[in-house]
Amino acid sequence: MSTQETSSKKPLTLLVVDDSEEIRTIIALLLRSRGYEVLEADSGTTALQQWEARKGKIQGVVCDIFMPGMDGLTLARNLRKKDPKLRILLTSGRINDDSQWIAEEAGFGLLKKPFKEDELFEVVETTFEK
Amino acid sequence: MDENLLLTAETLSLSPDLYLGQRVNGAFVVKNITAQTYLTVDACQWGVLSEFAQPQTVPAVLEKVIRDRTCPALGDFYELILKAYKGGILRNEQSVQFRRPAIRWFIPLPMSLVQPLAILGILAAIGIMGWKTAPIPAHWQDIALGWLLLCGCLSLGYVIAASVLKASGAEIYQPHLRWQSIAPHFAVDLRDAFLERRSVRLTVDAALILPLAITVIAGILFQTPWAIVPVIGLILQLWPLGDGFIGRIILLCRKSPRLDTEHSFIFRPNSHPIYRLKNMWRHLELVPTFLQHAWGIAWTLLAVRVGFGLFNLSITEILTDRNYWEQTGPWIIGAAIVIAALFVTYQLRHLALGLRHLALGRLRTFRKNISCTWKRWRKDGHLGANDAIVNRFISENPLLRRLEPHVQAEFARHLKPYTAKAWSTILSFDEEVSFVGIIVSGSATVYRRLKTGRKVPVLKLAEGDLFGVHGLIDPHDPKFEVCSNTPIYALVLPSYVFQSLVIEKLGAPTVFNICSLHVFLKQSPLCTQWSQQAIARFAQITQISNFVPGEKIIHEGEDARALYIVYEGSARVLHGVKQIGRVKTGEYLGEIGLLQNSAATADVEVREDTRCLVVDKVDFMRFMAHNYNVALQVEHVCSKRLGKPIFPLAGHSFDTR
Repeated sequence: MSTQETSSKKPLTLLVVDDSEEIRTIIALLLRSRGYEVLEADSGTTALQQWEARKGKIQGVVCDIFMPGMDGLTLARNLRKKDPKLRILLTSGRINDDSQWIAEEAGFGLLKKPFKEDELFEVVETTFEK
Repeated sequence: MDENLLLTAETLSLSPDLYLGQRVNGAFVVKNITAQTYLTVDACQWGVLSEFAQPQTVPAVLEKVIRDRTCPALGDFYELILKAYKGGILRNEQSVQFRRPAIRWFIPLPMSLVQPLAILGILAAIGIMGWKTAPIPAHWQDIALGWLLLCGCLSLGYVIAASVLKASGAEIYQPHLRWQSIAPHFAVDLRDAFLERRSVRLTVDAALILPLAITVIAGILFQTPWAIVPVIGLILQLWPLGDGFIGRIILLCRKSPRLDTEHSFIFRPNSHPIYRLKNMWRHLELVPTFLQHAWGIAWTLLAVRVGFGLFNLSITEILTDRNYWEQTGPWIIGAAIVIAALFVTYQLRHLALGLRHLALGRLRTFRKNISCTWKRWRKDGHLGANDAIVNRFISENPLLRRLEPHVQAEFARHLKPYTAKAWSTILSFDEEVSFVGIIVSGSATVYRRLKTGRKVPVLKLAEGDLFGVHGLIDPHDPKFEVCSNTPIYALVLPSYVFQSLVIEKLGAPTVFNICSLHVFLKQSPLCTQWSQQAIARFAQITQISNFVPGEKIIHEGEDARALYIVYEGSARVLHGVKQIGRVKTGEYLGEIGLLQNSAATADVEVREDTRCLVVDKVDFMRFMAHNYNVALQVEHVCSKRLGKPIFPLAGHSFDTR
């Protein structure tokens, strides 16, 4: 789907969860530049609180897998329990080809870090705008 | 932490704050001093944990211990990792542990003083309870006094046990009052006793009930009116089931240690009733089991004796009273049978659960097969080709779901319904592939013609599989024939459209991997239980090798270098010149050598033109180590072939070099 088509509709609200402030800010900036409305959370627990506070208003989640406290996969599973249709994109620098099944088996998209802008946009569009 | 993540991608390291206890029965307890957690392991398991001295992922350690031939049974391996992580013995970057301080205990008591006293005291108390009954209390004040004495004895028992433990050099933790008990008492955490030698453990356990035993002796000997309450308290303390005093004493009599990987499973596959049953059988020891049951009978007699005394009944009178037995005999026998049945059910609950699980699994498979066959054969059994069905098939197909959304839409637009009768030829060897289809209902077989002219089945296709693709993508460009096994209802599109929309976009190797290898592997006995994702990854790491008749796939005495799955053709297994087996299409070889890290014990020679899927040892080990379900199933098939568990490896008896 093209960006023009997206911009004519109400923008999707995405929640970006990453414990690294730098990475979180960059992803959020890039996504905002493509017209998405972006919320940020620095941990799984904060993300769940944000989700509860904006029930039904978040259409997708981009979250890092390895985070202190609640890891990204556990967060994704919890969110999926609350909303089975929620689209979730996991990001990680430590997941390799052999362990990629963790995300695939659970039905989540996976973006390997480090990624380029184009890769992020492509995966985000495929995941959230299908 | 998510279990999959922990066992696959997380980097773990051994906590620096560990203390190893005394070795008892070949096992010892590892204590995390900071978090005050304990894990009972044997030398092999400690070897596994020691690999984490340098930060490692679980798959890396698994590969290493398999390579070093020090790998425990895989169920135990994963259970160990999860329990070690939970107990803080293994930790990741994010682990935070809170220190639980030990308390200062000023009264050390030498074990040499307490041990004989405790053992004699308990034996004497048991003897005296069997010999004489306690008097019935006349007033409630007597019961209250007895209850106060019980609480006091239990508290004093903890004080003596803690003092013995302190004298042996261990730490005492967490003093508290146990309010939520029938007899509230003072207690301390005595788990440091696990670190000590057998005699200290025995003394600490015995010291816990020593004051109670002495009170019971005094109460019965002097026939004090409060004696019945401590007697009941002592009877309950000597309860034969579970991890009570007697359970712990019997545990010390075991030849092999009782490790933490053998009970209270937290690794999900280990909770399976069949695994529990096998585990129970594997660790069953006759002497402790006999002792437990013998004590169960003795305890019941003791409890009956105390009960009779409580109601002022004489056993001798009752045993000789014929009228009594005629009236109540059947009830007593009935009650005894019910109690025995309940006891046997409790002991064999894993067997019952395992059999139930097995029966339900078989029933489910049978119902699924019947329902599938019914759908395929009945008229109009297939679903109509509406948009929803088409989209579902595309999104569930492992190949088509990789296409971009607009390509998927284009693909769906070209699809047309197609039907074929049962046992008919859908695509023959002689015709060019003009269309490609996706099966909505029915099953078909893909055949290939060998150089000899023989027609061999290559793949069996079912709902959701693509047909007609194989001729377009096989790197060796052979001809294929597709025949229906049941009535077929499919959605087809011209082959040139498939070429441009799928093959050109995803590449021929990807299409070949998914349409041929994926479908083939799904049916191979090695992979039937694997997840779709595991099969897809496995397909990626396989390579196809061709062998001519007479060529050897495996040479006897050579190191195992790869896993082979026969894709087409067959081979024979030779020991010298004697044929000891045959390997047919779909079967696999070399897997035991890979897990044992050993040499081949036989030659495998090809009988006809044969194609094999070959997975290099390094790739296979990495793939297996990253998929614990795959690892468990590979271990299972290897053990089945060997006729005994493959792990832990028994010495070097398998090494033929």
